[in-house]
Amino acid sequence: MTYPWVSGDVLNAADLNTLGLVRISQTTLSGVTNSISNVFSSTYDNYRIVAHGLTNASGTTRAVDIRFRTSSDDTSANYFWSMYGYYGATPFNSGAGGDTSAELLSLSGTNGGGFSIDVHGPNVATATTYGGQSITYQGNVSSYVTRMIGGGIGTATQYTGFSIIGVTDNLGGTVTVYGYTNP
Amino acid sequence: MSDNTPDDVIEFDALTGKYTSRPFTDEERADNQLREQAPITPSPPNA
Repeated sequence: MTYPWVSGDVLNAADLNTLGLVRISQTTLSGVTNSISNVFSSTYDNYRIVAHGLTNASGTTRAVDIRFRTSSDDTSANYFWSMYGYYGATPFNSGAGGDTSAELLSLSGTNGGGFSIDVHGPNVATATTYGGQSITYQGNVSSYVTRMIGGGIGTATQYTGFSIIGVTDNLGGTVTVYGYTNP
Repeated sequence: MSDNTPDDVIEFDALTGKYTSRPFTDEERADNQLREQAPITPSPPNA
C-alpha cells in the first residue's frame, strides 16, 4: 500500500516492514550495572538507544559508561570515547582511547536527564561505534550539562547487547532500544 | 538514599522480557572501585 497511509487502510506485513524504526525493548534501570541482552541481531544494522529519567542513588556526581556484550560484557581495553559540551556558558571536553569502557555522561541525584545514541553496526563484524548526546544534572557544577558524545570499541565482535554502568551508585531511569529498518 | 543494594548487577533479557539480579563478582567489584577513582567531567569551575 502506497505511503502515506490514510484512515481506513488495512496494513499488511509488507507495509509494516517498511516502518523506519522498530522498538525492540524497554528496560528499567535499577542496579549499578544494568545489562541489556539480546537486542542486537542481524535483523537490523543500526540502532538507537534512548534513556530518560536518569538518576543515581547517592546524589554524588558519578560517571555512567557503556560496554557492549555477548554472553558477558566485553571488558577489553579497546574502547574509545570523546565528549565535548557546556554547562551554562562553560565549555569542557574529555576523552580516552584504549579504555575498558566508554563514558557517556555523569550525573547526580534525582533531577533527571537522559541520553540518545545511534549505535552503528553492533552485530556486524566490524568496529562498533556510536554517536549522540546527553543532558544530565551534575551537582558538582550545580547545573544541567549538555554533551555531544561519541565512541565505540575497535573489535570485530558481533555484539548482541550492552550494559549501562553506574559507578558505585544504583542507577534509575528507562532505556529503550530501537532498530533502524534495513532497506 | 543508599549507595548500594545487594543486587549490584541487573540483567534484562529482551527475548524473554525477564529481569534477573546478582551481586558483583570480585573482578567486577575491583573494576568498579577503579572506576570510582576516575576524574569526573566537568570538574567544578574552581576545583
